[in-house]
Order: sequence, then structure tokens, then C-alpha cells
Amino acid sequence: MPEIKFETAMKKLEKIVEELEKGELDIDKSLEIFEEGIKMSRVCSKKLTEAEQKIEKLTKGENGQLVAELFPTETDSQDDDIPF
Amino acid sequence: MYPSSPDYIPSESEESVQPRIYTVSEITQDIQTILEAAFDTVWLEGEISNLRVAASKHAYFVLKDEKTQIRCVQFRGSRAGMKFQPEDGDQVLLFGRVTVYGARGEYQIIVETMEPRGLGALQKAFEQLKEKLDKEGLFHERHKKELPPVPWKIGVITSPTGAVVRDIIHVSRRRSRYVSILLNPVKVQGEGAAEEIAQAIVDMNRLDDIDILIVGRGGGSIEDLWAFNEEIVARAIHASRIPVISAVGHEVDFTIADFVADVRAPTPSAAAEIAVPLGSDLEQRVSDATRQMIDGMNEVVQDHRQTLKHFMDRRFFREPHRILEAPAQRLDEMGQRLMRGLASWRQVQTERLRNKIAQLIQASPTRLLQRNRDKLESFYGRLGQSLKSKAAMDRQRLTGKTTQLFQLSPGKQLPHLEERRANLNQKLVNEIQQTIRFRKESFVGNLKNLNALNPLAILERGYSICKSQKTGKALTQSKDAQSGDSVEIRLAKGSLECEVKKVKASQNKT
Repeated sequence: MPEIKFETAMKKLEKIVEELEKGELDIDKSLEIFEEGIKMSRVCSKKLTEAEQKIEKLTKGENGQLVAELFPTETDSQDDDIPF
Repeated sequence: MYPSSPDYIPSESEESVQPRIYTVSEITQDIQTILEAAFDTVWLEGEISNLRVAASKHAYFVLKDEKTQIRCVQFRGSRAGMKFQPEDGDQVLLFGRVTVYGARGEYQIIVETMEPRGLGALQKAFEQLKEKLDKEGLFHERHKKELPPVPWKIGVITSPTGAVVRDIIHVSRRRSRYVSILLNPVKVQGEGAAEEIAQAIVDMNRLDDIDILIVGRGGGSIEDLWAFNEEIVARAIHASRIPVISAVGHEVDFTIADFVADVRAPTPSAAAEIAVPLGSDLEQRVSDATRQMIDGMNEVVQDHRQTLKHFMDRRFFREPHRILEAPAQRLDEMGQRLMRGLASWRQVQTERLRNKIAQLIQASPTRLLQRNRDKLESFYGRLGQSLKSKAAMDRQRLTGKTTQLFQLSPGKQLPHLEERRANLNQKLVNEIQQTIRFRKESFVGNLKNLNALNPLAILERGYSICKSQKTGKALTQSKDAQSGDSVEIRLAKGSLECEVKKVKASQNKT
């Protein structure tokens, strides 16, 4: 299954809300899109849970390919303070 | 030069007595050699004046400072790659070599490259590049790409040291814990900075998970920011597949990069604010939409439940047997009609059957025989009737005659009459007998004729039927048999099994 983008999932979810709130669909269709909506909601939550902030620095590897490595910053240890 | 001899020793004085005499060309040549060797590569700073571009596209001008001036020429070839077009009064830094223009006996600088120097010249270079790129359409709105609303990874092209990268990281972290940052460290000022920045933009575009690029540096002088005014950087930003936010210097600083970029941020921190959506907003959007959806679904279910309830409240749900009344009535009616139909059908069929039986009886051999017997009886009847009436008539006539006879001569004519009477009587009997015989014969003849139609009756008359043993068919012509064949000859009574001796052809061909 191809990965669904957060924004795509979000758009679908919002569209489903709209459809359900219009209340014009029959019960089967409503249930169907509701299930889809729950799926999209999970996708969104999962994406948010998965996306963990990383700070990396791009360097050139031995063969000239691009390599990202973690980039230590002073702010790592003192997230909540503005050090400058 | 001189003939060498042991007694002639040339002295210093003698040489100075005989000074070298140059031609103009010779001395110019020597000066040229010395100058060109000494000033093969020179960096030279000054102000341009008397700039003149010839039809050949070579540029001629004088570079001067407060006290002196020197002639300069820049040939078409090296002018082509110039990033700005100098004008009189511009402060520039030249790179070139010294040469001598023999025709006028003047030394001059052949300029290889020229850079603007000082605020005025840089400003001019900036304006010129801006105008050029604007004409090409690089700043046009149609090239501006939308920033993705939910970026997961932001590429940052700036110096790895200094406040900018820290500002961006800090702002990004404060806003969302869902956005990663990839730093591509570059030199942001000085020699080669523009090239590094441009290359970094190209490199970032080779990665497929970067959603937004921030290209920038902190504040500084116009010279410090100059890399972001270079054409190579502008072109790289323009070519970038990833949307670019420029973040150069402070709010008041505008660079060419700012014009080409998809979004200009007044500062690097602002760039991060623009690029990174608030993580809490994302969470809120997801949970809001999910809750709304559940509410919506509940409402849908409620609506349908309500509708269902309305239906269930209908009378036929409360008193379901009522539904059956009308159909039951109809069923009854149908049953009646069915029975009626069945009865009349039976009647029709019985009638038909009766007719068939009658026809069958009519056609039966017994009936046929009976009919023939009836016919025969009626025939006999008619015959008898006719005979009776004839006899009666004759008797009447006789009576008449007898009466006549008695009236005419009862005495003498009696014997004669008696004789005549006997004769007549005899004649009458004969007549009657003959009539009877005749009628009988004709009846028998009729019977015989009737009999003659029966094939077996024909056999009675001596005919026979010859059948081939092989085929079982009656032979009608001789050529259907061969000598030696077995044939069966059917006679009126019994049959003969025979063998054909000889086949004779028919004589009269039919």
C-alpha cells in the first residue's frame, strides 16, 4: 500500500466530516466513509507520532554521495531556553 | 664583437665611451619585456573615467586615483563574462597585466576581470543583475511555488556556525516536534561562497524528502551579503524543485536571492516561523476532525434511528395482521375463480372426449359392418315392397278382368275362359317368377361386383399373386425376377412355392 501523505489523509478526513454532517448519505455509505475516516484519523495520528524531530547535517561521503549525520547543537540540552 | 687579442683589454671606461644606441622600437621592445615580466599579474584599484566602448566591443578607459591615472583596455572576450557593466566614476578592483602599446609608446593595463568596489559600484551591480533577471522573468509570480502546508523535513543552507542555524533550529523546535532539519553547511561570505551556496541548493534537490529549503545568513554589510546577490545563486534558487525561503540579513536587507525565492523571510528566525507549522495545530486539526466525524456519524445513526422509529409507528407495524386482510380477500376471490374455471374446463374437456368417442365408435369396423347390413336390409325391404306392390297390382288387374269375364259370358265362354284364365294364371306365375329371378340375379350380380373389389375375390376367379421371396413384394413385371429366384404364388386358397425357370420379356411395351 502506498504511503498516504498526512495532508492527503487530513483532507480526506475533513471531506468525510463534511459529508457526514450533510447527512445525505444512506447508512451503509455513511458507515463506509466513517470507517475510512477513522483510518485517516489513525494515519494522521501515526504520522505525528512517528515524526520525531531530528537535526542533521549534510556531508559528503567517500564517493561524493550526500550523507546526513546528526548535528549536535548547544540547544540540544537546553530546549526551553533561548541561549542567545 | 671585438677580435680577441692578448694585448687588448677592454676597460669599463672604454665601454661607457661607446654608449648603446637604441632605435625607438628597440627600446620600446626592451621596456615592454621588462614591464611585462615585472607586472605579469596585477590587482589594481581605482576609479573609472573616460570609459569608451568601441564598435569592436573592446572597452577603453582610464583608471585613476587622487593623483595619477593609467590607461586600461578590456577586450571583448573578457568583458563577456562580467557581472556588471562599469561606468565612469565607478570604484573598481581590476585584475590584469601591464603591457606597452608601442604605436603610441604608452603603457597600459590589459584588464582580465573587474569587480565593483565600494557601495556605489556594488549597488550598481545589484541593480544591473536585478534588472537582467527581472527581464528574464525569474522574479515572476508564476514561478513562485506554494510552501507545503505540512513539511516534515526542512533543508537549511547556511553557515554551520553562528546564530542563524541555531535560531532556525530553536524556532522550529519551539513550534513543532514533528519537523526535522537537515543542515547543508556552506560558506556564506568571501571567495567561493556563492558557488558553495548554489551547489548546496543543487545537492538538496537530489534528496527526495526535503519539503522546504531555507537559504540564508545573518546580517552584515552589503559586501558580507554579496554572495546572495550573485547570479549563480539566483539561478540555483530559480531551478530548485523544492520551494525556497530566502532569509538573508535583517529585515531591511534585500538581495537578489530574495527576489528569486518563492518566499522572502525578513530574518532566518522568521523563515523558520513561516516554514514550520505549529505542531499543536496539527494535533488539533486531527482530533477536531476525528471528533467531528464521530459526531457526524452519531447524528447519521440517530437520524436513521428516528426514521426507523417513524416507520415502526405506522399502523401496519402495530397491527401486522391488517396487512394480510386485503391479500386474503383477493386470495379467496382467486380461489373461487379458480374453482369455477376448473369446472368449466372439465365440462369442455368431457364434451370433447365424448365427441371423440362418438367419432371413434362411428369409425369402428362393427359400425361399418352394421351400416352395410342396414343398407342390405333396407335393400331387401325395398325389394320385397316392390314385389308386393307389383303382385297387388296384377291381382287387381286380374280381378278386374275376371269380373269383366263374368259379366260378358258367364256360361259358354266359361271353359274357354277357364283355359284363358289358366294360361293367364300360368303366365302370371311365370312373369312373377321371372321377375323374381331377374331381381335376384341382379342382386347377386351386385353382390359379385362388390366381391370383385376384394383382391381375394379376384383370386377366386383364378388369378394369382406372384411374390418375390427375396423382397417380399408382389411381382408386376417379369424383369423384376431372375431365373432361379424363389417366388411364392398366392392362390385363392393356399399358396405355392415355385422357382423361376425362365424370364420372358414383356411383348407389348407399356
